[in-house]
Amino acid sequence: MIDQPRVDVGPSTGFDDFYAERWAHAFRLATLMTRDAEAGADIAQDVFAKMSRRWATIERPDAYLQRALTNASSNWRRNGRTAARKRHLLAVRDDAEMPPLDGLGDAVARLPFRQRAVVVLRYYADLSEVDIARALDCKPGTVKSLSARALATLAKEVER
Amino acid sequence: MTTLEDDLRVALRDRAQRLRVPERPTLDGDADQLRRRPGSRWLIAAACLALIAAGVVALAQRQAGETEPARPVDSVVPETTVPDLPASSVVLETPGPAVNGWVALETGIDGDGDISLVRPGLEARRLEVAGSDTADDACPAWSPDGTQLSFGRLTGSSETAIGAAELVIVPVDPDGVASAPTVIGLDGWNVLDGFDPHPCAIWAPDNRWVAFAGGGEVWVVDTSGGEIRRLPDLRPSDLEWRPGTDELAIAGDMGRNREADTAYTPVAVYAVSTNELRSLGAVEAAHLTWSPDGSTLAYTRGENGPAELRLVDADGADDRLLVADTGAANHGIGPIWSPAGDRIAYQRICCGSAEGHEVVLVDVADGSETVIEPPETDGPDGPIRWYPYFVTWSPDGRTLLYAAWPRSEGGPASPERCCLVVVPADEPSESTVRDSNMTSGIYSHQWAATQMWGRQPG
Repeated sequence: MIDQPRVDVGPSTGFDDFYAERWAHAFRLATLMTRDAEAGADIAQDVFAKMSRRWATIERPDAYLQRALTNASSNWRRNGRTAARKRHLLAVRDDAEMPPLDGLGDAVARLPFRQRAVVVLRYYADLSEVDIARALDCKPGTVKSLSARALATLAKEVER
Repeated sequence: MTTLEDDLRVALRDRAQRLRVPERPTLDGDADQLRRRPGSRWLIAAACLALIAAGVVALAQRQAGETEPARPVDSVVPETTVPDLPASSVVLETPGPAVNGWVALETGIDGDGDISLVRPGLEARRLEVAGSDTADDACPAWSPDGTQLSFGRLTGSSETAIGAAELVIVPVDPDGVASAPTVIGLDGWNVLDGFDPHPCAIWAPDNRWVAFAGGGEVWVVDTSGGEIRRLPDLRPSDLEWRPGTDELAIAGDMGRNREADTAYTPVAVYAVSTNELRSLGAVEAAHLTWSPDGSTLAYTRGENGPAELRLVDADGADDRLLVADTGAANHGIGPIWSPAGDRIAYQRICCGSAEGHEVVLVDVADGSETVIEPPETDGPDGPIRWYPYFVTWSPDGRTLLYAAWPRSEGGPASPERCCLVVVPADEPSESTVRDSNMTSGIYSHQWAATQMWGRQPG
């Protein structure tokens, strides 16, 4: 079972309850998209901090959360390229919090970001095509294409 | 027997469960004490409608020649205003038979993509083209004479297979009505990983040939006869036909996928008449734009190159610096030369944002710059800034058109509200948000569209 209810929290629900219920899911979602647990935690915290300030105006908190996590993961990836290239210059990097990759998980992690995001949002978060399009800032048709490409790549990886 | 999709669900959930979830940090703030404000979406919609009305009035006035004489402006934050007049009271200037003036858009985020046309004073409307009801259409581009529209089409896409890609060429009359299209199948079409799979064509000056880039090759297609020429081993970040010629300048390298840096490469020039590629002197570029007379090329380099805007003669001679530091830019956007030839627009990241851009107009004669900061409007949660995905010039060179996305202070982007923002180049304070139904798929294309505003024939 995944740890995300499928129904949006209603307007009467307080932010604290939402935060408590969704923290683990948000962390996991961001980590799967960024392939970095540290970044996943940072992104989830930043997104919840913004949501806490804007809670009164957010009508669909789950949709907002998914989109914000996806945007932040994409931005982290984009902004982190330079840092990633220099990461080996750091003395020690603690990867202990990341579980070892398996065959299929490894293949998902190697996908380009948008394909990976589609796969994670579809098969981990169980989002619909339309919701993934909203989270990824693209059309449902693009989601189809990204999904098809990702599945084709993964199918080849599985065959190897 | 399990399917790949079943295996994916299991693998991802297993992997997620094995992650060590850190302790939930304490957040500052008193969110629970805030009172929920009902109907914020309604307020947004109302604001958008009002802004569209403002755009209609401003565009109609501009088209009718009621604007003040142009004057230089430095670093202006455009503000939009809501006019007293309702949209229905706008007096339209009826376009004559020899005038195009339509702006072509991608629309329809809640379904597969459509092409829509919008014109000053008129609501955007879907372009009815045979086959569009069941296809995913994107990337519209007007032929230079304003009589034909090309766009990319995907058909038969499904969860597990990429649909066929087609290039659609459709004559459009001055009233925006399409005739029977010519559909050119693109067998073997592919794109780089992470990019939108629609073919995004640009028209040659002869109104006949078009070019677009695929996954590792450039396609050059005769829209009259259907001939397809594929130029291998190219992953360009920019293409542009040289005005007055059959030459296509090809520059840059996008890398293997969306995550790769854009690199600069020697500029190649392909001539349709000879079917040959040649180098443009020693010029290396990632993005380029031709002067309207075809005599000069302006270019910039990629993410790891010097942030310069340079000019070079069409034969590769007299390479010279125009702007020493253009800053950084995302989205694969490059400079665009104005149709009047006097200015070049480029975008650079601004405003402390990782993604938001502002537009800079460079005077070609002396290199002086005018900065147009992202237009702002009032929103229910505070000011909304409209950042361009890409910018194109109106055919008369007086107006800039942004395909723009909004960001309100402190909130995430709202790309589904991708809008058309009209910015008078010499009066950016009169900017207007025009249409809120564009899709943001444009962000996913390999380079920025430049032929969305139909030119006037002749």
